[in-house]
Amino acid sequence: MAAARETTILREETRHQIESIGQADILVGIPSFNNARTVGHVVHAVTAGLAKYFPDRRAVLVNSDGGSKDGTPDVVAGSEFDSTRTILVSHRVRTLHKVITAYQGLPGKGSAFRTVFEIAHRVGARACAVVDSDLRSITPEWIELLLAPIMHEDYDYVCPLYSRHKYDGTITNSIVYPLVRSMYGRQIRQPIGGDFGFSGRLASHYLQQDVWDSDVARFGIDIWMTTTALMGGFRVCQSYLGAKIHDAKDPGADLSAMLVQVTGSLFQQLEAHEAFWRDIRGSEPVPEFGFKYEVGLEPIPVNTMRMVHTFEQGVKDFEPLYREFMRPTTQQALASLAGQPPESFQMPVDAWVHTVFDYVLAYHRRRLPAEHLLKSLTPLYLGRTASWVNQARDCGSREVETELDALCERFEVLKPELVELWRTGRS
Amino acid sequence: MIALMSIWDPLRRFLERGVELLPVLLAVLIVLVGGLLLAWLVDLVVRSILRAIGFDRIAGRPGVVDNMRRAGFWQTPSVMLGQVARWIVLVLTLVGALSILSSEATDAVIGSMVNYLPRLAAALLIFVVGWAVSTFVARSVLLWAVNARVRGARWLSGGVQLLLGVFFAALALDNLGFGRDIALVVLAILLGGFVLAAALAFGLAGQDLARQSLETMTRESRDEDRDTLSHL
Repeated sequence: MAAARETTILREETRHQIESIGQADILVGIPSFNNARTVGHVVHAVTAGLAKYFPDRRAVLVNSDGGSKDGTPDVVAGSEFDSTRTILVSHRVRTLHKVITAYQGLPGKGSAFRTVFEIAHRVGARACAVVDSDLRSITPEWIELLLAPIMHEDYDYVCPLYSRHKYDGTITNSIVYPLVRSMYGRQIRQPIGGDFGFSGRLASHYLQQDVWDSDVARFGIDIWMTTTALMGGFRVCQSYLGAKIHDAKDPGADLSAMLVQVTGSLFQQLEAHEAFWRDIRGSEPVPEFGFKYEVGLEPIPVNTMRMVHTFEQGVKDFEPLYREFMRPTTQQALASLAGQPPESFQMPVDAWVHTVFDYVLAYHRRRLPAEHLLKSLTPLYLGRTASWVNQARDCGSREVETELDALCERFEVLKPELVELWRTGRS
Repeated sequence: MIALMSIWDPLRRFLERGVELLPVLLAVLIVLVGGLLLAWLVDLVVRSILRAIGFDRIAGRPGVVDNMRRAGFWQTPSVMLGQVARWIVLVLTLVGALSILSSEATDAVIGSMVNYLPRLAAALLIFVVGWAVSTFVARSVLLWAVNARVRGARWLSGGVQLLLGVFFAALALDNLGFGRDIALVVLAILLGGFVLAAALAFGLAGQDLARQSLETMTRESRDEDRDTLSHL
């Protein structure tokens, strides 16, 4: 703890401001980078949530910014707390402090969170939450749902549960959730949700880890927070927040780069935690908070033809690459899928599970440079996504969850194969 | 008769020299065949011994094999060392065979070889680095092209590898002091040929294909614009 205090990444003026604030019960962090369009709404929701659900608690709102050029910090600074009067019948009893700071360190969400952790540690916050700054669907209730399990039920880590369109979040649904569930044995539905609640104890624990010069500081922070909480034996739960609607995505965002970041971060965690997950079999549910309700979601147009074409080209053109790290049976299973009509394309669940496991093993054995390896997953992931779109086309939200449960169960059933191959080093 | 004698005399001298040289040539042949057999045997023995002591496994531990594979060398360390041993024996055999023919020539060859060794080592290093770089870049191009749905991704990747390979070969040959111009000409021909072929294919012979490709690309990109799937 002392070490965490000695090495600081906070700017001097921020430290002085925190010293003047003194102690606080609650801290809410908003990492941002060029989110002027949406951050005002997020600040209002947070402010209203704190006023409505924690009016007598000393609270701090932290905006940890990555050097926005669009005036994001100004929007945060200009968001009037008084505007909450229009939606609340009562007013805050205690002052809400606002800290707006440009984070230091490697550029990325992880460094922004590190700043939040350090401020939480310095003010001795009991409960903290972080929410994305591009949220359009955040409501004051999110603040209660992320903080109350910590304040009132002594949980340490609150993961989000969202209502999402069945075609949304396919990296989470097809790779991250099944792997986290089968490896760590906990049914955390949104391990990289982005909006989390955590105790001050856990914030200090995060701060003490020596990861801030790695990819965690840049983009792997979400999965790292979840797996570190599980590894540390902290009490974990999840809260239903309703729909999650982001600001319009960056049209230039590259799927391959996204896959490299997400899967790379997850595989790194699996490397580090092998002794923990090796002997875990099956999975157990995580306590849930919040009132679940059906949400009307906008339809999402999906081009399965393009996905299937990319899959087929990948299987053909990457064949020599796949041969170097994939089991022949997996490669044969994938090759046999070519030629199906896009509108009825199906990838068997086991073929997908084996594919993911082969990638985990290849990453572990450094069969190829990590970026090359993970980029070669893109066509296969698109094949899986096309298959999922066809499979879920007529499914309701409950059936979708049933199908995803079935996928996760296959990950759990086939996990001993992975463990054995990991242990023996055979392909 | 005189004409016959004028043919016979040189022929006789040639046969006499041939008979004199025959034992020497036979000795050279024996050394070469023996050397080839020995090289094959040495290769086999080195590989067997290295495999028996688990050399590949030992080399694999600190990641040597992985680094070799990442650089594009797919043979196991034991096979590679076996091949190195075989080539050493083959070179020694050639030198030995040469020494039978002429000791002066052998001395000159050995002297040149010794003087040449640093250059040879540098050229070998350039070749190995070039191989690793061209493999890495070609793989990067392949990954980009397939993920961007570029048709003929493997051809593109292979072309890049060939061009880089020729470029590094030119560097290595330049270091050795010969063949530089040939390699540069080959590189220029390949580059020029590639551009010309692409221009002809898209400009003349493949007008329809070019139109179709462009139409497909724009259609798919329009479809993509409507695709609002959020992957995370």
